Amino acid sequence: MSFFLESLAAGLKASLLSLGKIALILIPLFLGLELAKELGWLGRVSSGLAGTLRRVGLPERVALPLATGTIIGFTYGAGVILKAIQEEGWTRREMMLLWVFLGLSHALIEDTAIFAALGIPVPAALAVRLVPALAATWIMSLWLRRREKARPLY
Amino acid sequence: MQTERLLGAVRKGFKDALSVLWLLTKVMVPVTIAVTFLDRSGVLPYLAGVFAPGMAWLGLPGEAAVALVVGNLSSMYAGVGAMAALELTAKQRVILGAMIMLSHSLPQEGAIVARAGGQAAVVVGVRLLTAGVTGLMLNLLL
Repeated sequence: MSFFLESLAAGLKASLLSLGKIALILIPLFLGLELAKELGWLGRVSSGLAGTLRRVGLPERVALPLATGTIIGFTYGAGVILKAIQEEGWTRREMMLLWVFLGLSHALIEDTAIFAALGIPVPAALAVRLVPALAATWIMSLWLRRREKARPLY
Repeated sequence: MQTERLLGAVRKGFKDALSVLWLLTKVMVPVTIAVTFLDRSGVLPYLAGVFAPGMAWLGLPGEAAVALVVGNLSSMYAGVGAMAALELTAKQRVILGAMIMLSHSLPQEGAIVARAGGQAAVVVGVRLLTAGVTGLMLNLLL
């Protein structure tokens, strides 16, 4: 019985301690994020992003949905993407690259806050996610281009 | 007018943060307790021994396999919960954190990709591969 209670207490303590640290970071971050959205800063981030996107093979028009998904989150980003696809008619290549990047790298604010609370420095948490995500998207774009050359679409 | 909009934004931000925290609490507390039980009852040490050779490639202890498995199959929050119950060095935290951040909640997020018109199998495959390669590289570089 004491084994049971002691494990319960230890698990509860470890999880609540982590949650407390996460709350301290997450609440101010979410407040800032909502304010930034309200003040229209997301558009500015997305135009700043466009240059980097071109370099990894993503067209500029994916910038806003991508910035939304990257900063805010997967589900919200998916909604914005679905709307953009219906309005603009994206190519398969654009969708594939966007989803590869977004699958690897989304909800950066929330996720980074959580792992920062677990003891990973913020710059490291961002770097170990963004660098592999950009590299994988770039490799995917090269591969897709090679495949298109081998089997051209008429 | 402007102040009202900004106040609304602050209220929404606070509400969103609390709902994420509640979600996190619901998953993290039971998972952390479960992993603590597994650890103290000797099940986790046994599993760790099984996974240790593979995990050594990533510079991680065998126990970390549990965080990777629940993080990928269940949700990222479950992976975080399992991670909170483990004792890790700074380097191991960065490696495990990177792998969980890159690849997690695959059933749920795969479904979202499929619903929004993406190829879920490709995205899931690329995520697992990227997480694995990143783990290997970080172990060598850090």
